[in-house]
Amino acid sequence: MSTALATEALARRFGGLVAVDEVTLRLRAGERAALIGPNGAGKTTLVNLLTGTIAPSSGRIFLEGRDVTALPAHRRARAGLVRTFQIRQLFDPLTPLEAVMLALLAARGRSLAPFRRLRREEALLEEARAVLRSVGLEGLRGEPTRTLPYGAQRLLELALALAGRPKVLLLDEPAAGVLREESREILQTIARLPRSVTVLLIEHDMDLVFRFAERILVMVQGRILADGSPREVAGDPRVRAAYLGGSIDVGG
Amino acid sequence: MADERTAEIAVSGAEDRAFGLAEPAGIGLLWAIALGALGTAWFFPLHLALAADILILALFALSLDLVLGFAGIVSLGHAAFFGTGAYVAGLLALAGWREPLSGLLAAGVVAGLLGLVASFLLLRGRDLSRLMVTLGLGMMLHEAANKAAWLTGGADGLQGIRIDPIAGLFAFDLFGRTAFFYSLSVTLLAVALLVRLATSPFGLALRAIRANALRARLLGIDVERHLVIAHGLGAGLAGIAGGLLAQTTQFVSLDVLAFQRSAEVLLVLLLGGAGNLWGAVVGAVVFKLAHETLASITVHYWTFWLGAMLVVLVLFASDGMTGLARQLAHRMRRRAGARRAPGS
Amino acid sequence: MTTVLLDGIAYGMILFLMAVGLSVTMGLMNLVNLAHGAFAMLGGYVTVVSIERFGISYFLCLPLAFLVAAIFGLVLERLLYRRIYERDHLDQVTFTIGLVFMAIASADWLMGAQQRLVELPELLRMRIPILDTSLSLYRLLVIGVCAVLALALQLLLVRTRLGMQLRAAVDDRRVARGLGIPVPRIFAAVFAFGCGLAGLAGALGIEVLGLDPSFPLRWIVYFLLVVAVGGTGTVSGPFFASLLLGIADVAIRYWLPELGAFAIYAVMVVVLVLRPHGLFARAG
Ligand SMILES: Nc1ncnc2c1ncn2[C@@H]1O[C@H](COP(=O)(O)OP(=O)(O)OP(=O)(O)O)[C@@H](O)[C@H]1O
Ligand SMILES: [Mg+2]
Repeated sequence: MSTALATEALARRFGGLVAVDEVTLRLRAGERAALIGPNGAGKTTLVNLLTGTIAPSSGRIFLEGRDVTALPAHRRARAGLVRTFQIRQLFDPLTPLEAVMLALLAARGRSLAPFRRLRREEALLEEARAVLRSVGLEGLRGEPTRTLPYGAQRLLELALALAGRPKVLLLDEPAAGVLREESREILQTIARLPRSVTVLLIEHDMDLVFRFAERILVMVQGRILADGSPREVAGDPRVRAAYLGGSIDVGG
Repeated sequence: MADERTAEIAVSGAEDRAFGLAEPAGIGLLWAIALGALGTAWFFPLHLALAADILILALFALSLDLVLGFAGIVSLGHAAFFGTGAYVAGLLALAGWREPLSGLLAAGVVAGLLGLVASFLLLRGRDLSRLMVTLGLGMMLHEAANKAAWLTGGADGLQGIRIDPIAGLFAFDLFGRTAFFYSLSVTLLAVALLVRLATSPFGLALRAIRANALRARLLGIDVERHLVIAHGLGAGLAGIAGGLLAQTTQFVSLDVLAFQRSAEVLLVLLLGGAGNLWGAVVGAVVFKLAHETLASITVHYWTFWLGAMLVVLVLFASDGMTGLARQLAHRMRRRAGARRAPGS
Repeated sequence: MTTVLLDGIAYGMILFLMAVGLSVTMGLMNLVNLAHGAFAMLGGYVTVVSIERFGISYFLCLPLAFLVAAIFGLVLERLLYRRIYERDHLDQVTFTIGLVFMAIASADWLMGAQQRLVELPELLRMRIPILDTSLSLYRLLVIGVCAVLALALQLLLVRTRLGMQLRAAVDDRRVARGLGIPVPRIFAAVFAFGCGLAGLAGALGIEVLGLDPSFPLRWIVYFLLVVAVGGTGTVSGPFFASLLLGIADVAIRYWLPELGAFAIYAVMVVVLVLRPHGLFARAG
């Protein structure tokens, strides 16, 4: 199988703190992987490094075999490396339809068209509606984002990522803070994604993780401590120790 | 059948609202300006100079709206580009190039280029440093113009500017008729351009960048490039407004570059409301009329009321007049909806 | 050479006194107060009126200017400023520019548009020889007062309980509140104190800075430059920045008068462009 995303001794220090410590990993194309680890393990920092929001202290990043370490963030996004945010990162005054339209345009590198008319982009409008429908937000497409309920905002966060034509999708706790009902909906949307998309899910809810992932990576203090099938990882004594004796239940 | 039709209309209505900047609103603005201006010309033929003044201020405020309201670049030195345009147009005419349209274009191009260059200084900082950099740039240009008296006439300004008839047909007259219609045409053209821009992918991208630049970047938008272009365009439009002032008043003084002018245009935009084009125009009309009224009462201390307006604005209506109007409309629509609901 | 240096130091000291309050409020309350110069102007006019109308001695005018400006600052803080602490910088700038315009028009109306000067006491006009030049006692007073105040402020901030509370409030407002530190009251006190210092600077610096209604506008760039170079939230940062700026400005005026204020504006832009984040790490 071909490699979708890979890192080579990727590291990031904040002053004395090593947030990401020489992480080398490989995601195969189409894989459904999950990244877990205690608070402050460095998961979000790793995503930040991969997407180019922050620069690594050392190491390299490859997207489909191409070295993208020096590529600016927007070029990586356009190349199909797409993420969602753990903490709300939306466009407050825009409506979901506008936001998704923008994501569609940006992914095609067509946002810099001052004389095209948005309303004439019928094909894209149709696609935007379809994306919103797929996350169940079609009915709210005309409301300013800031007025949407929290659960709907999480779904919009996901919709923006889906509209970005992802090849690799990095989902940073997409269900953080939402109700059980809604988190199931979010997970179902992710599960429905075609196999052409590689997914790395960061999540604290082990129930969700074990239902979704074929492979689990465990990160502790900036390092990948364990990496394997859910069964292997759940049985790994080091992982159990890292979670301070807390048990990890393999769902079902 | 009838039901289907209503359903269709309802959907397209929802779609309109799904786009914050609907095209109808933009086209409405064009009509409002045209009708308002022509109405003024018809009913108050003695106030054409004031009307032209308002139009030029509106154009200036619109150019800031592109920079601030859309791209979110906070600027305290926008007069730098207005003033550059004014001096370019004035100097060209004094040098013997009296054809107005090409002169105006040159004003816009030079100011736009300056804006393009300046924008690179604005990319890295956030609000506060952008404020200070734009303020500094504005002051630098003002001081440079002040010192370069051989070129700019220093404190005396550029006098004795003469402009040829527009298209060889309409000479500038004492009553300001030509100046008025000239300003109106240019403003309408600029508004049409801005409406087009605002309802384009580019306009959407700018609003998104203003709302959340990080998110926009991670959707694949080249944020810097968008900002540079927006700032360049805004500066160019400001230059055209300045050139228009120079050509219609046939005089340029140092205060086209003054800090007060930057602050004033900021006030105009905030007064009307930023980010929707209407606000810039509404703000210009209200501001100029208020100025006329207040200045006739207290000739000297008009700036006091200018200041008071700013203070009150921030305390009570930070979205400007269009923001207030929208809130009102929203509330009324809600109430109407509530009244209809029990019946259906 | 020595003249330029000494003049520059005296001038820089006054800049420091004017700007330190702004730097602290910017760092502490994240407030961009472009109207800070109005308080210095107030101090200047208080001095002019006290001397001309009431024949009060110049030396008494200095604490008086401090007091009036501080009280004025306190009142405005309670009435107005406190409402905009949480607003974004654009709102704050708009708001305080509004105040600047109001202050200018008011000064124009009350005091007239012309430059105002004060007759310095005989004593202060005495000159003492220093190296190859001589220095008026006035400049010596300026340097002395400002240096003592800078030292006192530094000690206040680092050594006292108030200073500790202040720094705690800077670091984390919520935590500070949780510790029972009366944050709003500290804010008000600091704001008023900063205004008082500006008022004192206005009174002390009449001879150096000039005094007319456009004062608050004219000095905005200098305040901002001090903050831009010196950073916010400390005493030493603005102190050294002011000295540097004072000496540089005097030197430019002395040797390159044709550049005028241009150079200062250019320096400000360059500094900001090169270090936009570092300088405002706290405010950002
Ligand atoms: N910009 C930054 N500056 C300094 N330290 C940082 C920065 N970003 C993250 N850190 C630190 O790096 C470490 C890893 O943080 P990170 O947010 O990546 O953890 P995480 O695994 O995503 O945790 P959580 O599960 O709580 O989201 C933490 O100790 C955090 O405090
Ligand atoms: Mg995280």
